[in-house]
Amino acid sequence: MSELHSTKEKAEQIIRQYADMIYRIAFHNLKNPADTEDIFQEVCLSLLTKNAPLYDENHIKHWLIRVTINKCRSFHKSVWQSRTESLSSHTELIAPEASMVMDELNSLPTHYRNVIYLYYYEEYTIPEIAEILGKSKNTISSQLQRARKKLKKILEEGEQL
Amino acid sequence: MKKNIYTQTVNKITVPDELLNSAIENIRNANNSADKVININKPKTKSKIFRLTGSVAAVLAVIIAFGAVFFPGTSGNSSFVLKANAAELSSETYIKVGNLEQTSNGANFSVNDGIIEINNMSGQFNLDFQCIGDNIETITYETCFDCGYFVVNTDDVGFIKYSAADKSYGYSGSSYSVLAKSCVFDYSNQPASRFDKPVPEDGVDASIPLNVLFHVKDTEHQYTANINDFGDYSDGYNMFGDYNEGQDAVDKYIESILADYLNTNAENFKINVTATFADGTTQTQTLQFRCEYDGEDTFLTAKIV
Repeated sequence: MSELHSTKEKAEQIIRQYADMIYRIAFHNLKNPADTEDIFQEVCLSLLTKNAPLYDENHIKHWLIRVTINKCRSFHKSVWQSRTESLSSHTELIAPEASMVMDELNSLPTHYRNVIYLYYYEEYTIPEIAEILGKSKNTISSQLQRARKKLKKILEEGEQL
Repeated sequence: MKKNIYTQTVNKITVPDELLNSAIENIRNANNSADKVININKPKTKSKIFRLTGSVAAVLAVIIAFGAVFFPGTSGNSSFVLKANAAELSSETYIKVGNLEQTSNGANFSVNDGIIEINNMSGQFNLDFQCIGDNIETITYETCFDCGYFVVNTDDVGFIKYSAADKSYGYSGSSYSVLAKSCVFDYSNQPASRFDKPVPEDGVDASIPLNVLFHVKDTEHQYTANINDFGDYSDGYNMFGDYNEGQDAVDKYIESILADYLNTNAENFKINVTATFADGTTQTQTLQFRCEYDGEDTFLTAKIV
Protein backbone atom coordinates (compact mmCIF):
# COMPACT_ATOMS: atom_id res chain seq x y z
CA MET A 1 0.00 0.00 0.00
CA SER A 2 1.47 3.36 -0.98
CA GLU A 3 2.06 6.08 1.59
CA LEU A 4 -0.46 8.37 -0.11
CA HIS A 5 -3.09 5.63 -0.17
CA SER A 6 -2.54 5.03 3.51
CA THR A 7 -2.80 8.75 4.20
CA LYS A 8 -6.06 8.95 2.30
CA GLU A 9 -7.53 6.06 4.24
CA LYS A 10 -6.55 7.65 7.52
CA ALA A 11 -7.95 11.01 6.43
CA GLU A 12 -11.22 9.34 5.44
CA GLN A 13 -11.45 7.66 8.82
CA ILE A 14 -10.85 10.99 10.59
CA ILE A 15 -13.44 12.77 8.46
CA ARG A 16 -16.07 10.16 9.30
CA GLN A 17 -15.20 10.48 12.99
CA TYR A 18 -15.19 14.28 13.20
CA ALA A 19 -17.45 15.33 10.31
CA ASP A 20 -20.29 16.53 12.50
CA MET A 21 -17.92 18.48 14.75
CA ILE A 22 -16.29 20.27 11.80
CA TYR A 23 -19.68 21.04 10.32
CA ARG A 24 -21.07 22.33 13.62
CA ILE A 25 -18.12 24.62 14.29
CA ALA A 26 -18.26 26.05 10.78
CA PHE A 27 -22.00 26.47 11.15
CA HIS A 28 -21.56 28.32 14.46
CA ASN A 29 -19.06 30.65 12.80
CA LEU A 30 -20.67 31.33 9.44
CA LYS A 31 -24.42 31.14 10.14
CA ASN A 32 -24.86 30.02 6.58
CA PRO A 33 -25.28 26.44 5.29
CA ALA A 34 -23.73 27.17 1.88
CA ASP A 35 -20.59 28.72 3.35
CA THR A 36 -20.45 25.98 5.95
CA GLU A 37 -20.32 23.39 3.19
CA ASP A 38 -17.43 25.19 1.48
CA ILE A 39 -15.42 25.37 4.68
CA PHE A 40 -16.21 21.73 5.46
CA GLN A 41 -14.73 20.68 2.13
CA GLU A 42 -11.64 22.80 2.69
CA VAL A 43 -11.02 21.43 6.15
CA CYS A 44 -11.37 17.86 4.89
CA LEU A 45 -8.84 18.48 2.13
CA SER A 46 -6.45 20.11 4.58
CA LEU A 47 -6.06 16.70 6.20
CA LEU A 48 -3.86 15.75 3.25
CA THR A 49 -1.40 18.56 3.85
CA LYS A 50 1.95 17.76 5.37
CA ASN A 51 1.24 19.44 8.70
CA ALA A 52 -1.90 17.50 9.57
CA PRO A 53 -1.24 15.29 12.61
CA LEU A 54 -3.13 12.34 11.13
CA TYR A 55 -1.58 9.75 13.38
CA ASP A 56 -1.62 11.75 16.56
CA GLU A 57 -4.89 10.80 18.24
CA ASN A 58 -4.33 13.30 21.01
CA HIS A 59 -3.95 16.31 18.75
CA ILE A 60 -5.98 15.69 15.63
CA LYS A 61 -9.25 16.84 17.17
CA HIS A 62 -7.72 20.07 18.50
CA TRP A 63 -6.01 20.61 15.16
CA LEU A 64 -9.31 20.24 13.30
CA ILE A 65 -11.02 22.72 15.61
CA ARG A 66 -8.28 25.29 15.08
CA VAL A 67 -8.16 24.77 11.32
CA THR A 68 -11.94 25.03 11.01
CA ILE A 69 -12.10 28.25 13.03
CA ASN A 70 -9.13 29.76 11.19
CA LYS A 71 -10.62 28.92 7.80
CA CYS A 72 -13.88 30.51 8.81
CA ARG A 73 -11.97 33.65 9.83
CA SER A 74 -10.14 33.88 6.54
CA PHE A 75 -13.18 33.29 4.45
CA HIS A 76 -12.68 35.03 1.16
CA LYS A 77 -13.93 38.58 0.83
CA SER A 78 -16.09 38.05 -2.22
CA VAL A 79 -17.82 35.07 -0.69
CA TRP A 80 -18.21 36.93 2.58
CA GLN A 81 -20.00 39.73 0.85
CA SER A 82 -22.14 37.79 -1.54
CA ARG A 83 -23.95 35.35 0.69
CA THR A 84 -26.59 36.54 3.04
CA GLU A 85 -28.73 33.45 3.43
CA SER A 86 -30.24 33.24 6.87
CA LEU A 87 -29.34 30.67 9.45
CA SER A 88 -33.01 30.04 9.96
CA SER A 89 -33.16 28.28 6.60
CA HIS A 90 -31.32 25.46 8.32
CA THR A 91 -32.66 25.60 11.86
CA GLU A 92 -36.27 25.79 10.80
CA LEU A 93 -36.00 22.08 10.19
CA ILE A 94 -35.74 21.53 13.91
CA ALA A 95 -38.06 22.31 16.79
CA PRO A 96 -39.16 25.96 17.07
CA GLU A 97 -37.73 26.31 20.59
CA ALA A 98 -34.41 24.88 19.51
CA SER A 99 -34.39 27.11 16.48
CA MET A 100 -34.94 30.09 18.73
CA VAL A 101 -32.01 29.10 20.93
CA MET A 102 -29.73 28.89 17.89
CA ASP A 103 -30.94 32.22 16.58
CA GLU A 104 -30.26 33.75 19.97
CA LEU A 105 -26.85 32.14 20.18
CA ASN A 106 -25.98 33.43 16.75
CA SER A 107 -26.70 36.96 17.81
CA LEU A 108 -23.51 36.73 19.89
CA PRO A 109 -20.09 37.64 18.46
CA THR A 110 -18.31 34.75 16.74
CA HIS A 111 -15.62 34.21 19.36
CA TYR A 112 -18.28 33.89 22.04
CA ARG A 113 -20.08 31.25 20.00
CA ASN A 114 -16.91 29.20 19.65
CA VAL A 115 -16.27 29.28 23.38
CA ILE A 116 -19.88 28.37 24.15
CA TYR A 117 -19.75 25.46 21.74
CA LEU A 118 -16.46 24.09 23.02
CA TYR A 119 -17.41 24.47 26.67
CA TYR A 120 -21.01 23.35 26.69
CA TYR A 121 -21.18 20.94 23.80
CA GLU A 122 -17.69 19.48 23.49
CA GLU A 123 -17.31 19.83 27.26
CA TYR A 124 -13.77 21.06 27.17
CA THR A 125 -12.36 22.74 30.25
CA ILE A 126 -11.29 26.38 30.21
CA PRO A 127 -7.55 25.51 30.08
CA GLU A 128 -8.22 23.10 27.21
CA ILE A 129 -10.15 25.72 25.25
CA ALA A 130 -7.36 28.20 25.92
CA GLU A 131 -4.86 25.77 24.44
CA ILE A 132 -7.01 24.97 21.41
CA LEU A 133 -7.77 28.58 20.57
CA GLY A 134 -4.35 29.94 21.50
CA LYS A 135 -5.72 32.30 24.10
CA SER A 136 -5.00 32.75 27.78
CA LYS A 137 -7.20 31.05 30.34
CA ASN A 138 -8.25 34.46 31.60
CA THR A 139 -9.44 35.48 28.17
CA ILE A 140 -11.49 32.32 27.76
CA SER A 141 -12.95 32.69 31.24
CA SER A 142 -13.90 36.23 30.49
CA GLN A 143 -15.41 35.41 27.12
CA LEU A 144 -17.38 32.55 28.59
CA GLN A 145 -18.67 34.69 31.40
CA ARG A 146 -19.65 37.53 29.10
CA ALA A 147 -21.30 35.17 26.63
CA ARG A 148 -23.24 33.59 29.44
CA LYS A 149 -24.44 36.98 30.64
CA LYS A 150 -25.53 38.06 27.19
CA LEU A 151 -27.17 34.74 26.47
CA LYS A 152 -28.92 34.70 29.80
CA LYS A 153 -30.45 38.07 29.06
CA ILE A 154 -31.50 36.96 25.60
CA LEU A 155 -32.98 33.72 26.88
CA GLU A 156 -34.93 35.48 29.57
CA GLU A 157 -36.40 37.79 26.97
CA GLY A 158 -37.12 34.81 24.73
CA GLU A 159 -38.99 32.99 27.48
CA GLN A 160 -41.49 35.81 27.61
CA LEU A 161 -42.44 35.29 23.99
CA MET B 1 -33.21 23.47 30.98
CA LYS B 2 -31.68 25.72 28.39
CA LYS B 3 -28.36 23.91 28.27
CA ASN B 4 -30.18 20.73 27.29
CA ILE B 5 -32.05 22.59 24.60
CA TYR B 6 -28.74 23.89 23.28
CA THR B 7 -27.03 20.50 23.21
CA GLN B 8 -30.11 18.83 21.75
CA THR B 9 -30.22 21.51 19.08
CA VAL B 10 -26.57 21.10 18.20
CA ASN B 11 -27.07 17.33 18.09
CA LYS B 12 -29.47 17.88 15.24
CA ILE B 13 -26.96 19.88 13.24
CA THR B 14 -25.26 17.09 11.34
CA VAL B 15 -23.31 17.05 8.16
CA PRO B 16 -25.56 16.14 5.19
CA ASP B 17 -24.80 12.70 3.76
CA GLU B 18 -24.19 14.04 0.27
CA LEU B 19 -21.67 16.56 1.61
CA LEU B 20 -19.83 13.91 3.61
CA ASN B 21 -19.75 11.58 0.63
CA SER B 22 -18.54 14.37 -1.61
CA ALA B 23 -15.72 15.26 0.79
CA ILE B 24 -14.61 11.65 1.04
CA GLU B 25 -14.78 11.30 -2.72
CA ASN B 26 -12.54 14.35 -3.05
CA ILE B 27 -10.04 12.77 -0.68
CA ARG B 28 -10.05 9.51 -2.66
CA ASN B 29 -9.64 11.33 -5.94
CA ALA B 30 -6.80 13.53 -4.79
CA ASN B 31 -4.01 12.94 -7.26
CA ASN B 32 -0.75 11.31 -6.42
CA SER B 33 1.10 14.39 -5.41
CA ALA B 34 -0.41 15.38 -2.11
CA ASP B 35 1.57 18.59 -1.91
CA LYS B 36 0.14 19.73 -5.25
CA VAL B 37 -3.40 18.52 -4.87
CA ILE B 38 -3.99 20.09 -1.55
CA ASN B 39 -3.31 23.56 -2.65
CA ILE B 40 -6.55 24.92 -1.27
CA ASN B 41 -5.42 28.40 -0.40
CA LYS B 42 -7.61 30.87 -2.13
CA PRO B 43 -5.93 33.54 -4.20
CA LYS B 44 -5.10 36.69 -2.30
CA THR B 45 -6.32 39.51 -4.45
CA LYS B 46 -4.66 41.86 -2.02
CA SER B 47 -1.22 40.50 -2.86
CA LYS B 48 -1.81 40.89 -6.57
CA ILE B 49 -2.96 44.43 -6.07
CA PHE B 50 0.06 45.09 -3.95
CA ARG B 51 2.44 43.63 -6.49
CA LEU B 52 1.02 45.96 -9.09
CA THR B 53 0.97 48.83 -6.64
CA GLY B 54 4.49 47.92 -5.61
CA SER B 55 5.73 48.13 -9.19
CA VAL B 56 4.03 51.44 -9.70
CA ALA B 57 5.34 52.61 -6.35
CA ALA B 58 8.87 51.67 -7.38
CA VAL B 59 8.57 53.81 -10.50
CA LEU B 60 7.01 56.60 -8.48
CA ALA B 61 9.81 56.34 -5.94
CA VAL B 62 12.35 56.98 -8.70
CA ILE B 63 10.32 59.93 -9.95
CA ILE B 64 9.94 61.29 -6.43
CA ALA B 65 13.64 60.83 -5.75
CA PHE B 66 14.38 62.66 -9.01
CA GLY B 67 11.98 65.38 -7.99
CA ALA B 68 13.46 65.63 -4.53
CA VAL B 69 16.86 66.30 -6.03
CA PHE B 70 15.82 68.72 -8.76
CA PHE B 71 12.65 70.14 -7.22
CA PRO B 72 13.19 70.06 -3.44
CA GLY B 73 10.10 70.44 -1.28
CA THR B 74 7.68 68.67 -3.61
CA SER B 75 7.66 65.19 -2.05
CA GLY B 76 6.53 63.64 1.21
CA ASN B 77 2.89 64.68 1.26
CA SER B 78 1.45 61.23 2.00
CA SER B 79 -1.00 60.94 4.84
CA PHE B 80 -3.35 58.50 6.50
CA VAL B 81 -6.46 58.57 8.60
CA LEU B 82 -7.38 56.27 11.44
CA LYS B 83 -10.84 54.74 11.60
CA ALA B 84 -12.42 52.89 14.46
CA ASN B 85 -15.71 51.10 13.85
CA ALA B 86 -15.90 53.00 10.55
CA ALA B 87 -15.72 56.40 12.27
CA GLU B 88 -12.71 58.62 11.65
CA LEU B 89 -10.65 59.61 14.67
CA SER B 90 -10.14 63.32 15.21
CA SER B 91 -8.62 65.72 17.69
CA GLU B 92 -12.05 67.08 18.57
CA THR B 93 -13.92 64.34 20.37
CA TYR B 94 -13.31 60.91 21.87
CA ILE B 95 -14.85 58.04 19.94
CA LYS B 96 -15.21 54.41 20.91
CA VAL B 97 -12.29 52.29 19.73
CA GLY B 98 -12.57 48.94 21.49
CA ASN B 99 -14.46 46.90 24.07
CA LEU B 100 -12.96 45.39 27.16
CA GLU B 101 -12.83 41.66 26.56
CA GLN B 102 -10.95 40.47 29.61
CA THR B 103 -12.13 41.76 32.91
CA SER B 104 -12.49 40.48 36.42
CA ASN B 105 -11.26 37.06 35.44
CA GLY B 106 -8.04 38.79 34.64
CA ALA B 107 -7.87 40.09 38.18
CA ASN B 108 -6.12 38.23 40.91
CA PHE B 109 -8.09 38.95 44.03
CA SER B 110 -8.65 37.30 47.34
CA VAL B 111 -11.41 37.44 49.90
CA ASN B 112 -10.15 37.56 53.48
CA ASP B 113 -12.54 38.04 56.36
CA GLY B 114 -15.16 39.30 53.97
CA ILE B 115 -12.86 41.90 52.41
CA ILE B 116 -12.05 41.73 48.69
CA GLU B 117 -8.42 42.64 48.07
CA ILE B 118 -7.31 43.16 44.50
CA ASN B 119 -3.72 42.08 43.93
CA ASN B 120 -2.98 42.12 40.21
CA MET B 121 -5.08 43.35 37.36
CA SER B 122 -5.14 42.76 33.65
CA GLY B 123 -7.56 43.90 31.03
CA GLN B 124 -7.66 43.41 27.30
CA PHE B 125 -9.23 45.86 24.90
CA ASN B 126 -9.76 44.85 21.30
CA LEU B 127 -8.76 47.91 19.29
CA ASP B 128 -10.73 47.97 16.06
CA PHE B 129 -8.54 50.17 13.88
CA GLN B 130 -8.19 50.64 10.17
CA CYS B 131 -5.46 52.89 8.77
CA ILE B 132 -6.57 54.34 5.46
CA GLY B 133 -4.20 56.02 3.01
CA ASP B 134 -2.41 55.66 -0.29
CA ASN B 135 0.86 53.79 -0.65
CA ILE B 136 1.09 52.70 2.97
CA GLU B 137 3.85 50.16 3.39
CA THR B 138 3.78 49.61 7.14
CA ILE B 139 1.92 50.75 10.22
CA THR B 140 3.86 50.82 13.49
CA TYR B 141 2.27 50.82 16.92
CA GLU B 142 4.11 51.88 20.04
CA THR B 143 2.71 52.09 23.56
CA CYS B 144 3.52 55.14 25.66
CA PHE B 145 2.52 53.72 29.03
CA ASP B 146 4.37 51.21 31.16
CA CYS B 147 1.56 48.73 31.69
CA GLY B 148 0.40 48.56 28.06
CA TYR B 149 1.24 45.75 25.65
CA PHE B 150 0.03 44.75 22.22
CA VAL B 151 -1.03 41.12 21.97
CA VAL B 152 0.48 39.71 18.80
CA ASN B 153 -1.00 36.39 17.80
CA THR B 154 1.69 34.12 16.40
CA ASP B 155 -0.76 33.11 13.66
CA ASP B 156 -0.30 36.64 12.33
CA VAL B 157 3.50 36.47 12.09
CA GLY B 158 4.37 37.65 8.61
CA PHE B 159 1.69 40.29 8.69
CA ILE B 160 2.47 41.63 12.16
CA LYS B 161 6.06 41.76 13.34
CA TYR B 162 7.18 42.67 16.83
CA SER B 163 10.56 44.03 17.68
CA ALA B 164 10.83 42.36 21.07
CA ALA B 165 8.56 39.97 22.87
CA ASP B 166 8.14 41.12 26.43
CA LYS B 167 6.54 37.92 27.47
CA SER B 168 4.87 34.85 26.12
CA TYR B 169 1.15 34.82 26.62
CA GLY B 170 -0.05 31.33 26.01
CA TYR B 171 -1.22 28.21 27.72
CA SER B 172 1.10 26.07 29.83
CA GLY B 173 4.30 26.94 28.05
CA SER B 174 2.82 27.16 24.57
CA SER B 175 3.45 30.43 22.83
CA TYR B 176 0.39 31.35 20.83
CA SER B 177 0.76 35.05 21.34
CA VAL B 178 3.25 37.48 22.79
CA LEU B 179 2.99 40.80 24.54
CA ALA B 180 5.02 43.50 22.81
CA LYS B 181 5.58 47.20 23.42
CA SER B 182 5.64 47.85 19.70
CA CYS B 183 4.67 46.01 16.53
CA VAL B 184 4.60 46.57 12.78
CA PHE B 185 1.81 45.72 10.31
CA ASP B 186 3.16 44.90 6.86
CA TYR B 187 0.75 45.87 4.08
CA SER B 188 2.32 43.45 1.60
CA ASN B 189 1.48 40.48 3.81
CA GLN B 190 -2.00 41.58 4.77
CA PRO B 191 -4.54 38.72 4.63
CA ALA B 192 -7.75 39.05 2.62
CA SER B 193 -9.86 39.31 5.76
CA ARG B 194 -9.44 39.68 9.49
CA PHE B 195 -11.91 39.13 12.34
CA ASP B 196 -14.69 38.10 9.97
CA LYS B 197 -14.35 41.30 7.94
CA PRO B 198 -12.67 42.08 4.62
CA VAL B 199 -9.61 44.29 4.94
CA PRO B 200 -9.66 47.74 3.31
CA GLU B 201 -8.20 47.93 -0.18
CA ASP B 202 -6.80 51.39 0.45
CA GLY B 203 -5.12 50.73 3.75
CA VAL B 204 -4.38 48.31 6.55
CA ASP B 205 -6.64 46.58 9.01
CA ALA B 206 -4.58 47.28 12.11
CA SER B 207 -6.96 45.82 14.66
CA ILE B 208 -5.14 44.33 17.62
CA PRO B 209 -5.77 43.57 21.29
CA LEU B 210 -4.22 46.00 23.75
CA ASN B 211 -3.43 44.46 27.11
CA VAL B 212 -2.88 46.32 30.34
CA LEU B 213 -1.17 44.62 33.25
CA PHE B 214 -0.40 46.15 36.64
CA HIS B 215 -0.01 45.36 40.30
CA VAL B 216 -2.82 47.05 42.14
CA LYS B 217 -0.80 47.14 45.35
CA ASP B 218 1.81 49.26 43.60
CA THR B 219 -0.75 51.95 42.83
CA GLU B 220 -1.49 54.90 45.04
CA HIS B 221 -4.95 53.57 45.77
CA GLN B 222 -5.56 50.47 47.83
CA TYR B 223 -8.75 49.06 46.39
CA THR B 224 -10.70 47.02 48.89
CA ALA B 225 -14.39 46.34 49.37
CA ASN B 226 -16.66 44.32 51.63
CA ILE B 227 -17.97 41.16 50.00
CA ASN B 228 -21.34 41.69 51.67
CA ASP B 229 -21.83 44.77 49.54
CA PHE B 230 -22.17 42.56 46.49
CA GLY B 231 -25.15 40.45 47.48
CA ASP B 232 -25.14 36.72 46.87
CA TYR B 233 -21.66 36.14 45.50
CA SER B 234 -20.47 32.75 44.36
CA ASP B 235 -17.95 31.60 41.82
CA GLY B 236 -18.32 29.20 38.93
CA TYR B 237 -19.67 29.07 35.43
CA ASN B 238 -23.27 28.24 34.92
CA MET B 239 -24.44 29.80 31.70
CA PHE B 240 -27.97 28.49 31.75
CA GLY B 241 -28.41 28.40 35.51
CA ASP B 242 -29.52 31.14 37.82
CA TYR B 243 -27.79 34.39 37.10
CA ASN B 244 -25.67 35.51 40.02
CA GLU B 245 -26.14 39.19 40.69
CA GLY B 246 -23.37 39.24 43.29
CA GLN B 247 -20.81 37.94 40.84
CA ASP B 248 -21.91 40.50 38.30
CA ALA B 249 -21.52 43.25 40.91
CA VAL B 250 -17.99 42.09 41.68
CA ASP B 251 -17.21 42.12 37.95
CA LYS B 252 -18.41 45.69 37.64
CA TYR B 253 -16.46 46.73 40.71
CA ILE B 254 -13.24 45.27 39.32
CA GLU B 255 -13.86 46.89 35.94
CA SER B 256 -14.33 50.21 37.70
CA ILE B 257 -10.92 49.80 39.33
CA LEU B 258 -9.35 49.12 35.96
CA ALA B 259 -10.98 52.22 34.49
CA ASP B 260 -10.04 54.34 37.49
CA TYR B 261 -6.41 53.28 37.33
CA LEU B 262 -6.12 53.90 33.59
CA ASN B 263 -7.81 57.29 33.74
CA THR B 264 -5.80 58.34 36.80
CA ASN B 265 -2.68 57.72 34.75
CA ALA B 266 -4.23 59.25 31.65
CA GLU B 267 -1.26 61.47 30.91
CA ASN B 268 0.64 58.51 29.52
CA PHE B 269 -2.32 56.42 28.44
CA LYS B 270 -1.42 56.83 24.77
CA ILE B 271 -0.06 55.01 21.75
CA ASN B 272 1.84 56.28 18.73
CA VAL B 273 0.69 55.12 15.30
CA THR B 274 3.21 55.68 12.51
CA ALA B 275 2.59 55.06 8.83
CA THR B 276 5.57 54.53 6.54
CA PHE B 277 4.81 55.20 2.89
CA ALA B 278 6.27 53.82 -0.32
CA ASP B 279 8.30 57.00 -0.84
CA GLY B 280 9.99 56.50 2.52
CA THR B 281 8.19 59.30 4.29
CA THR B 282 6.45 58.75 7.60
CA GLN B 283 3.56 60.26 9.50
CA THR B 284 2.83 59.73 13.19
CA GLN B 285 -0.42 60.22 15.07
CA THR B 286 -0.63 59.99 18.84
CA LEU B 287 -3.82 58.67 20.36
CA GLN B 288 -4.98 59.56 23.83
CA PHE B 289 -7.17 56.89 25.43
CA ARG B 290 -9.87 57.13 28.02
CA CYS B 291 -11.58 54.19 29.72
CA GLU B 292 -15.36 54.51 29.99
CA TYR B 293 -18.32 52.55 31.28
CA ASP B 294 -21.84 52.96 29.90
CA GLY B 295 -23.72 50.93 32.46
CA GLU B 296 -23.39 47.76 30.40
CA ASP B 297 -19.86 47.53 29.03
CA THR B 298 -16.42 48.97 29.72
CA PHE B 299 -14.60 50.24 26.65
CA LEU B 300 -11.87 52.54 25.39
CA THR B 301 -12.38 55.82 23.62
CA ALA B 302 -9.64 57.77 21.88
CA LYS B 303 -8.84 61.03 20.16
CA ILE B 304 -5.79 62.36 18.35
CA VAL B 305 -3.52 64.66 20.38
